[in-house]
Amino acid sequence: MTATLDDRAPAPRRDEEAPSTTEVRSRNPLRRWLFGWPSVTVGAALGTVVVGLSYRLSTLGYSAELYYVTFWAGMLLACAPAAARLIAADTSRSARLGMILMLGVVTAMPKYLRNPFDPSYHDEYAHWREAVDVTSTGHLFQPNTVIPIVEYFPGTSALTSSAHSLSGLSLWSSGVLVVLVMHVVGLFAMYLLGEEVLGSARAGAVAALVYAINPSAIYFDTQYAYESIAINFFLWTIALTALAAGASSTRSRVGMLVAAVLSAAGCVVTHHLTTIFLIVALSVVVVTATVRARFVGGPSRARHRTGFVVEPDGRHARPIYPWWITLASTVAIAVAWVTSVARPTLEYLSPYLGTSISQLDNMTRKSGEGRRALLAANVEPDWERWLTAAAPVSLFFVCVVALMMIRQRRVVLNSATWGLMLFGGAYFLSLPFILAPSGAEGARRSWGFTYVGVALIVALVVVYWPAKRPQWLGRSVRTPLTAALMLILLVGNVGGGLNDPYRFPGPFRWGTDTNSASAETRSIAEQLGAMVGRAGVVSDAYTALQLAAYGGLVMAAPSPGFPAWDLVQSGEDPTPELAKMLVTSRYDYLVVDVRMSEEDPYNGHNFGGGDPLLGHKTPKANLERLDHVPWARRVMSSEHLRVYRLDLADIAARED
Amino acid sequence: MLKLEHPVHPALIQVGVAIATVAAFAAVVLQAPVGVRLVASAVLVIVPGIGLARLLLPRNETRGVDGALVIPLSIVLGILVWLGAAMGLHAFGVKLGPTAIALTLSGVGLILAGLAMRSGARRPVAVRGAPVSSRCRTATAVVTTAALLTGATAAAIALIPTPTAPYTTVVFTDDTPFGDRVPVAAAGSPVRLEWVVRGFGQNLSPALTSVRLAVDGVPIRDLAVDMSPDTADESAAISGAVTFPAPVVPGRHTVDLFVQPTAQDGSDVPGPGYVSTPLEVTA
Repeated sequence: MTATLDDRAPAPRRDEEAPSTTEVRSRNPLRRWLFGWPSVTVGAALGTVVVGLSYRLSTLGYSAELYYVTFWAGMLLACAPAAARLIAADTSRSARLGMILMLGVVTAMPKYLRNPFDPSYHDEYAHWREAVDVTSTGHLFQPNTVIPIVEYFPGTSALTSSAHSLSGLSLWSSGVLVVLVMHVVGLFAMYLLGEEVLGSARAGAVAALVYAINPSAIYFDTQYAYESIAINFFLWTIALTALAAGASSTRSRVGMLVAAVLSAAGCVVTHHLTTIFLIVALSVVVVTATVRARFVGGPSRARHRTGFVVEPDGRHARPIYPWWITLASTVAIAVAWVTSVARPTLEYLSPYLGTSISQLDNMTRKSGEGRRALLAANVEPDWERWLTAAAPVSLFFVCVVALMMIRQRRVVLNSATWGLMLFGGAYFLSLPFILAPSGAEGARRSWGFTYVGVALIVALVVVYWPAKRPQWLGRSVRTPLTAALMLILLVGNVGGGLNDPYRFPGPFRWGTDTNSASAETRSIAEQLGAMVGRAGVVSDAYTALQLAAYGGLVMAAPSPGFPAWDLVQSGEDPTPELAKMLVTSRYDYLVVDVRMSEEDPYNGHNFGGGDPLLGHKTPKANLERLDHVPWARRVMSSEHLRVYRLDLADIAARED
Repeated sequence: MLKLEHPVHPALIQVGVAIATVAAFAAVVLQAPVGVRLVASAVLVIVPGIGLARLLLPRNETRGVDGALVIPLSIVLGILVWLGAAMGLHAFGVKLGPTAIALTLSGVGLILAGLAMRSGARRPVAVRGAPVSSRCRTATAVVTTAALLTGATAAAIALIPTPTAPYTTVVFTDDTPFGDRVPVAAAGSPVRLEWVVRGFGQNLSPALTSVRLAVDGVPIRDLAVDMSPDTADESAAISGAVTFPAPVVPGRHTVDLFVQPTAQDGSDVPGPGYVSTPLEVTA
């Protein structure tokens, strides 16, 4: 079979092959029952309940093996029927659209059930507080103490506050609703992109399915945070540009491009990192097209006067200029935004890449030093770890198969499709960074974007690989192989995404952003906030989240240049230099949770990466001495938390 | 089956859109119940979204009945209109609130929808339409699915236990100990400290709650303690005050207040510890 995926000879749309659901239903009653709408719906509902059961087991402290198995039983129950119908060749286009809607809901469900009523993830605290401040003041751009850069990207808080004002839902529910809606419509963008560039509704459906199970999709990009919203603007910008390139008339092309640029603008004002990835993705497409136009042999080098890229047979192919227009517009909007509104963005982002590259370099030179154990500090069962490792390996083989298909000219891709798939190849480039302490976060964060290309590659292979191959014992094993691939990607990708405390609720566990939170800390935060307003506070990394979110307090950000952690991580009085910094910056309070002295922090630190006691619990004596030093007095207290009023003026005076 | 794109007269659609938009605006401004305002919010996304989508992609220029494109794109564009409205209001110094946002979205929505209908109304086209029975089946499936998933989600949430470890907190209610100033008292004069103990997960008994006080680490026996349940607080709280004679020696002293609450059934509750304040005694 040869499928041509440029518009000289578009591949047949699968909805033309399966024009109506009625026809499909009458063909096979068993399939109709297994993969029909009722089974999909009942599967999704039962799966939701089983995932809830797994969270119950984790909360009650059952073994990880048990709640992981339960969780995956629920997820498979919820996802498998819809996935099967999405992949099946004889599903109608309208049924595929319904399945995408269902898939969007069930892939958002685990994160929603994780914390349905309050923030729990690190970024959620920041965004929730931002929305609270925007709503209470009536103005955007409120200072944010958890993630200061959030102030300059008001998309999330503006949408949340608007949804809250209009609907009357709580701020949290409003934000979660916005994220859910964007998550679902984002999958439709992926579908449209796959359908457009791979020329088949089935390819679009497979692309949407693969994207829906990317490592970031099920937890990270469904949390209440700016990336969860912006990444869907990212998808729509790319999809609309691809549709513009394939549009049949100038009017509709212009309309699509205007919509793409509007979506890009929404992305720019919502999230910095997503904007960067959007610019990179668009750049890869235009560079690929330019390089292909220049270096691919034969008539393809030629250019038509209108600027259309001319493909080898000399006829007009899809123009590449819509990609240039979207790229130029996105860059212009981003530059204008950063220079006029969000100047601190460059300063905020610049350290990350340099640090992780230098750490990778160090790791290659010094074996064993600074090395991050893959999947360490994790209670994941072995089978999930194996599937996590198998996911990139499987994708690598899929890429090899795709290259073979292209080499054998089973498929012919246009330049934009090549560019998007090359962008997906960056997924493999990011994998080594997972071993670098500060690169791991960046690598993980990139997968939600590069998976656009990965999803297209997988869809290409799944849809266009010859139906009868490969064979085993005289029978085609294509279906079991496809099912196995999807299973590996679903389980492995989620396993490679966030760690156990982020995925599962559980008993109190010190040293995690999620399971270190408690009603007790929230109560202290609210009482302290009510008493002192937006006062400056020093606290550990975990208590600080709740203090900032629920108390509206201004949290210190300790660093080697501002070692505020010395108040508890050192058994001595603060230096005059530190005391002066604390006094002049008006950090008047210290909040300690005594549980930091009872167990080692799960994340390995109590005050971020610069913590002088990295990997260790805080010595109890360091906390007990706070009740006897002249520079601190306890003004609020509970069983586990103490609030101290600092009086460091005398020590600070020694600096002068 | 082929049918005309506008089986209903365009003027009727315009009136319907206008009524829906105005009703949504009214529901928001009049603070209707959440269920009604949720529908109103959906209208205020969809009307400007579809208007903008149809302006950019007229039916006769695109796959006009393509639900995969038009419906989600309308939602995305509607959300972008929300974003633009909020940022526009901010830029003009208008405070974001239900009335300002709803008014802006209604106005923008009516303008966009009107423009879209004007540009598209004169060009009816023949399109493939689904039979009525098929639409009813789809609507039934969507409603059933939504109901089932909502029920399943509620059941799943009910399955997940909420941690309910009881705890208590103690804090001064006077803000002086929180500030820069040090409380001042004349030697031997009565000093009054007010505090509140909040219990979460159990009801506290004022009668069974004990209060101790130490000055410079020395317990003070001559105490007058007032306690009463704090009904203003939704947690089980006890408001109290302790009155004691200031030390006779001038200078700065440290006062530690210990409150040990007990539950109404006499059972122990987690102790909140103590709170402390300096006291400047003058001659």
